[in-house]
Amino acid sequence: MTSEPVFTGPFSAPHYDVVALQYTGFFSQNNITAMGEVIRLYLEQHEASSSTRRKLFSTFIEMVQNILRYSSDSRALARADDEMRFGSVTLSIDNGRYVCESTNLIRPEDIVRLREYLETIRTMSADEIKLTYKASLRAESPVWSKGANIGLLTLARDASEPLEFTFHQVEASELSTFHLKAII
Amino acid sequence: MNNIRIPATSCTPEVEFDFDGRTLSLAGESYPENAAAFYRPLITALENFVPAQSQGTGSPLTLHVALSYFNSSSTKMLFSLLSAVNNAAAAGIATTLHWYYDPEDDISEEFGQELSLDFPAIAFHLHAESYHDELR
Repeated sequence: MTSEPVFTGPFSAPHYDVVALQYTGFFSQNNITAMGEVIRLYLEQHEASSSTRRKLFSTFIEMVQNILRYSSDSRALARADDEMRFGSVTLSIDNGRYVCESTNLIRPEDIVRLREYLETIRTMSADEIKLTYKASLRAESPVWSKGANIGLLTLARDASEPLEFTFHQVEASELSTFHLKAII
Repeated sequence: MNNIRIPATSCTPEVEFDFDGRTLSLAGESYPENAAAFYRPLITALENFVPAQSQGTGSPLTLHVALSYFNSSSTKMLFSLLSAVNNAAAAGIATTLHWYYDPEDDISEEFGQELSLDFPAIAFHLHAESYHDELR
């Protein structure tokens, strides 16, 4: 097959020291846990601050669990009460800062809600994010939420800059890609 | 009262709910895909424990929580779990909670402080120390 891009890409300078992990495919709790172990080990050997390690691990887990819960992809696999969903995650280092990114497909009706929520979070100061996070902790989860409705707030809390996001409609499909980027 | 023992997995904590011995502990990682499914039975057990105790000896209850990492949905469930514990404490069962966190982990420290403010019936002790040596 085409092995060339691999050797000219992530395995050659300068990429080998800036991409810590890149995965596109199905996400299940099992491979999330396995990737989590790799990230833990990578961070233990590359990052001295345990506070940064925790923030980065938290960001990674919240992003991939978002894919597992919300990705609306016809490629989803289901077995009993276990579901696997399709998406992409990248952990890289850009100018000495960690960047965690996720991409997955979402339905048009989710775009409005997500955009509104993310725009609101982007305007908040660190203190406001904390206060909103604390309030959400005590509130009942909204009906659409499969997690705790504090996943995005957790990402915003751990990031050093406002979360970045884009939506792109996929050609000949009603679905859009949702790209989310957090800089730690 | 049925005691609960669940061994740790890579994404769920070890659970030792020894109701007879009045000692409950949670230790390890907590980022299951479905945190509600994991924590709901524990919360139910705590809720059942309260009425069972009201005619009992009322001997004190001690909790140890030592979670190295908990994701957002676990955070929410921990809040519900401690709410049930707080109800037990408010019902007259003297309850102490030991919260262990890595000294550099300000997120866990803050969450521990947050819990202590929200659940005043519980006597809180925050420990900035590694839990590995503490509980074993």
